Amino acid sequence: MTVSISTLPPQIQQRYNAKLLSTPEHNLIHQLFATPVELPDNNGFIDRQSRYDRLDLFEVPLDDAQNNPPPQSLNRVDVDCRVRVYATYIVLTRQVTITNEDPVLNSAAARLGQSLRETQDALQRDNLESSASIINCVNGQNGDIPTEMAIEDVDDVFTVLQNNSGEYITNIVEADLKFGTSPIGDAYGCMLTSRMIPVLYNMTGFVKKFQYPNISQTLSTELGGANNVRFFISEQGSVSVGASMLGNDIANCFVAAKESYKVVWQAGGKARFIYLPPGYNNDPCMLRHTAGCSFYQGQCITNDLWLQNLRSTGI
Amino acid sequence: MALPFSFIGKWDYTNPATPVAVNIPMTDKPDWVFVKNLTNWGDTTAVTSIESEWFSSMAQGAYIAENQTVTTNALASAAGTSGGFTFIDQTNPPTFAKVAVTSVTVTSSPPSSSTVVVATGNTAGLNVGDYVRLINITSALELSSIAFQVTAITTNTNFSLGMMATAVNAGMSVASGTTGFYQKVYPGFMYPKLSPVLYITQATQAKVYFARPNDYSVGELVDFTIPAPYGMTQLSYLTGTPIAGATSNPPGAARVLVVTNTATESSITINYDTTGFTAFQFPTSAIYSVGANASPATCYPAGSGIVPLNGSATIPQSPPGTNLVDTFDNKAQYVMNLGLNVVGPANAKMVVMAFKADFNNAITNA
Repeated sequence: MTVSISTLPPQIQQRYNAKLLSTPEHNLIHQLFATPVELPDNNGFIDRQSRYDRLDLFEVPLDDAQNNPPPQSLNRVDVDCRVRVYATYIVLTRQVTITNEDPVLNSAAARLGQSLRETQDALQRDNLESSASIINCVNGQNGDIPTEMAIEDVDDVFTVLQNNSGEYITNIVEADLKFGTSPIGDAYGCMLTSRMIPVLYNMTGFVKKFQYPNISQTLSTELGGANNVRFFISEQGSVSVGASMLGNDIANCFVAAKESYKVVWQAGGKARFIYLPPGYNNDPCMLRHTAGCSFYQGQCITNDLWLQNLRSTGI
Repeated sequence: MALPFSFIGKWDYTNPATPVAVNIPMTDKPDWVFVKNLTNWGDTTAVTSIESEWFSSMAQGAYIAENQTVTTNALASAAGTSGGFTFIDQTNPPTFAKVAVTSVTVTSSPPSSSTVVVATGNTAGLNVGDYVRLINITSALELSSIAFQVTAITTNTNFSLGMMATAVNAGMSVASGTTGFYQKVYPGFMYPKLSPVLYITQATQAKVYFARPNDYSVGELVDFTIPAPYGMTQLSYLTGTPIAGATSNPPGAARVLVVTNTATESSITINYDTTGFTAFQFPTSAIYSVGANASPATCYPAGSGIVPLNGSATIPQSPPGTNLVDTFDNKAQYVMNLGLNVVGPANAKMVVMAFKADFNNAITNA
């Protein structure tokens, strides 16, 4: 037989490269500004936190009779958050794990971990999407409602949060003597879809992260800032499909002040990887491994004033 | 685990005189579902789809079935591509194409006879109880973005928005619209949800009307964002408000005293006196479409309060308690929708069973 490339057996033609290719992983942004809370075990499944309402001002002086003024009522608000259990797993036959050159179980663990973290992030995203107060962008030019985001819309949501006494997430990034840089004010954090990148880059007043005077305290998920809001993007940011006046997709851009929402984890139910070797789960012939993961999580808005959904089209 | 299929669950239902689509909540994604008619099985009645099945490799809405023929009670195989089994993962629901609307007719006839009818030549796939969003309705742009519940359908002619009609009965003023689109949508699954507001009464205990069933519960605290074109801006951002004010309203967010969720009304009564407030007025289409006026009026959850006794603003239930029903929660489910081609005949007792295929090497090679 003539030996040529076309007659080489498959085993000779290929080499299995043990270095795995990267798997796309989403940016995890929706828990960035959540207040973490741990629910101790054996204390039920609902975490309740309370807040006392502000008292009225008392600017009227007592008169000379020195009578006691009328009392004020102290009002308490409870915010309840239920913790749920989430789990998933995969099944691998022993035949797979003992015949593959690739350590499949290692990859299974990595992918389960990614799935778990992205699920945690998506749960928080869905919570914010369902329950947060809405402000439509109205200062863009595309003729839809909401419009695409404009700097005036950023200022509007900033004003609402300031009027509602929301505290900043990050401190000012001071100006520096570096070409092409611009300072960033004290800022609230905005979590949004990466589909908003063109809108933000076209927005007057938007400062890209690489234009910050100092990027030492930024995250890789941060895209930039505008006046008093800094923007963090994710491929799994919230989008309401076809929900605008003209039927276009709406980006739900969650602008958060400090302590506006939280995530609750069960003390004994934190994220875990669970491996069971062959022989478990009615597997008398020891034919299957399982690899699973689970976590307990609850999420809620703790102060409706401090979390605004700034909705934009143009994506 | 070692079985090729594991059991997800069993459900029973009995059809009404006019069968409607049935939603079966499931704890897992099924790979095999069947529905059997227990009433007519083995008798001499001719029954279409006396047994229906769906496998996960089949298309959404499809089914295979066996029809019972007249008198011989023999079974004949059948299949269909619509009106069968539709699996819905609420965390990733299907999306639907927008459908042309020829008019949205609002007939105001308070106190109880108002109607809101959306005329369309295509109601395929739409069921009573579904949510629809109206898109770009000429002369009624202010209705954009709101998810309404469908309360009645005349096939391929029109459907009704009964909850909006109830708000019109209460005082909501909105003009009729002409052409545009509707789109079927699924609501979010996190609880309790934000709800667009259709109308708020001026009363010592204000009543708030919504376009779809609301998530609120008695004793829950709710807050509002009411943009200027809607009038009653005094209700905006109540949380954190310390001042009682001229109307002696309590500090902070409003407390829900009564919740109404019926087939044609979604409303809450709150412990807030709005008699001195600016009247709630839905903006006209022209006003809404002008930039700065285009944010919706919304109501959203703001916490838990004391549960009132029978709707009283001052007397708590006895023994006193706070609301746990309003706890922020994830209420997502897997749902198998049984369409009219598989749901079974009138008055029949039906049984549903679902299974999941476990055996899976978990590696596929595309």
